Formats: sequence, structure tokens, C-alpha cells
Amino acid sequence: MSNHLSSEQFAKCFAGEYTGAELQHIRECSSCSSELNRLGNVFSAFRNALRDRIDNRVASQTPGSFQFPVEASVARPKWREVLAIAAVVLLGTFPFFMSEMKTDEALDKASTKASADALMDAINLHLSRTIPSPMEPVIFLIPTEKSPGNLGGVQ
Amino acid sequence: MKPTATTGFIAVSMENPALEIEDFERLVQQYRTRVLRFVFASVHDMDLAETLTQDCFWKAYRNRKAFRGHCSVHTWLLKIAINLVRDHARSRRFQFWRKAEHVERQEMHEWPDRGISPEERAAVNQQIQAVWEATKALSERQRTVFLLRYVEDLEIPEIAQSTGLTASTVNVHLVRAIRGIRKRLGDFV
Repeated sequence: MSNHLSSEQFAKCFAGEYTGAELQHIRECSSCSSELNRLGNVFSAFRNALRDRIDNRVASQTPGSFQFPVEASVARPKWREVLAIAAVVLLGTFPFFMSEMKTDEALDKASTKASADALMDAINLHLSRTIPSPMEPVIFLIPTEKSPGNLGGVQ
Repeated sequence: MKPTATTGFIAVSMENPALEIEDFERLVQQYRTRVLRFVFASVHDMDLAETLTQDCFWKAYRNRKAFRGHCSVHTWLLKIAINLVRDHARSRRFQFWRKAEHVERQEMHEWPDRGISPEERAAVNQQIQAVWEATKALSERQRTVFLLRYVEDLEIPEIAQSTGLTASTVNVHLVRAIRGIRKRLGDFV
């Protein structure tokens, strides 16, 4: 191989994919072999610089700086507990509310019945009157058989 | 001795791998640097890289029971990270108005002073910055394959596992990435 390695051949050789002829050329051609070495040194410097940068960055951070994720299965029982407590409270207080509601209904019914009786009494009283209600104050002035005649005034 | 999926920091038992990674805090400590490095080199934004790395470990934690030990923990985490980076890139593609936003220029870390002259150091810093810029111009797959190979030091079969590509496709993307970067580096090499 009289010419130098092509760009493709050079890249393949650098990646380790060389043919016998290419390997022979690298051994014989100081230009190509030194260029391979130079590129290798550049990549090595790049790797070391990158490693230094990240190592310094990580070293400057506190060891426990990684925020460990809270797993859903760990968080779930807390919600379950809260829901269970709420359910127990609701179930516990429900009968109390129901009994309160029943008592109120009974009182309402009783008061309704009492008021209805009172109304009927008032109606009966009104109907059983012998005189109209506007005349009631005057009725006491009218003499009856029970009252003696001295009510009639001065004789 | 029980068979393990990796010889890394956390050995995963083939018999019950899900149980072996219960110690998730330890896993985060040991792999966070590597995941963050890959994500940062992929998205070129440190704040975003931190967020995506956090998401990566969160996803891994939620799906830890599904991990069967068919690959190493590192490969498994990188697979999650690659998907997150891809999802982020896709979501940004439709948010075209974001291009108008001010994007903070994220410079690469300078080459540490390791007994080289200031001139040499300046030259190396230029080369590093040139590679940094060149990786931005690569396609998403080319960049991923390049970073996994030359920054994370993964072998081709591991890259294939992480990306879900075949080994030959990985090689094709790798060669294209090297060509693209070399072309952009130009005189820096």
C-alpha cells in the first residue's frame, strides 16, 4: 500500500477493524502510525478531563445528596390508614345521627298531634257556644234562674 | 462460588438478582459517577445531567425486581440512562422555540497540571475542547457509541447490550463517529 490510509480506513483501524494490509501499512508508515497515536492521546486526554470534572463534582457534593424515591407501596399504607380511620368514624357516628333523626321525627309528630287536638277543642268550644262571641261580655248582665233578682238593681 | 453477572462493585447473583440489589443506596454511591459522566457528555448540561441521573436511578429502583442479571449492573444502568437521554432529545426536538433560549456554554474541565509545560497544557486543553465540540455535532447514536467506547471503556458486546444494537451496527456507528471527530479536529491533532 503506497498511499496513506484513507479516512475510512483510518477510522476502522482506530476502532480495531483493520485488515492485514492495513496493519502492515501502519507498521511501515510512521506518518499514519503517529497520527493514530496522536488521536489516541487526544481521546485519552478528553476522557481524563471528563472524569476529573465529574469526580470533582461528585466529591464536592454531600454523600446523601441523592433523593431516594418514596416508593408508592410505602406511601400507600398511610392513605389506607387515613381512609380506614375516616370510614370507622363515619360508621361509628352514623347510627347516632340516625337515632337523632328518629327522635326529632317523633317529637315533630307528637307536637303536630297535640296542636291538632287543641285546634279541635277550640273548634268544639266555638261551636258549642249559645251566643255569638261578641255577646259574651254582655251575657253576665243577663239574669238567670240561678242568679237571684237582686241583680236587677236598686228597688 | 455462586455465578455472578458482574465482577464490579456489586456482584449480582444469578439465582436471585433482584434480592442482591436491595441495597440500593450502595448501588447509587458506586455507579452515580459513571452514569453522571455519560449523561453529562451526552447532553452537555450539568444541571440536566444531574436530573437525568436522578431519574435513571429512580427508574432502576422502581424496576429493580425485573433485573434478571442478564447483563452487568453498569450496563443495565447505562441502558436506562441511554433511553432517558434519547427521550429527552426527542422531547426537545418538538420544542423548537427553546432554541431561542440562552444556552449556557458548558466548557470542559481543563486538563489538570500534571507536570507539563503551560504551552503543552494549553494545547491539550484546546484538543479537549475540540473533541467536546465535535461530539455535539455527532448523531445521537454515534455520540452514544463513541462515549461508551472511549469514555466508559465498554467493549463492543457491552455497548451492543446497552444500546440494543447489534455488534456490527455498533462498529459502523463507532467508525463514523471517529471519522466525524477526526474531521472536526483538523489541525488540533
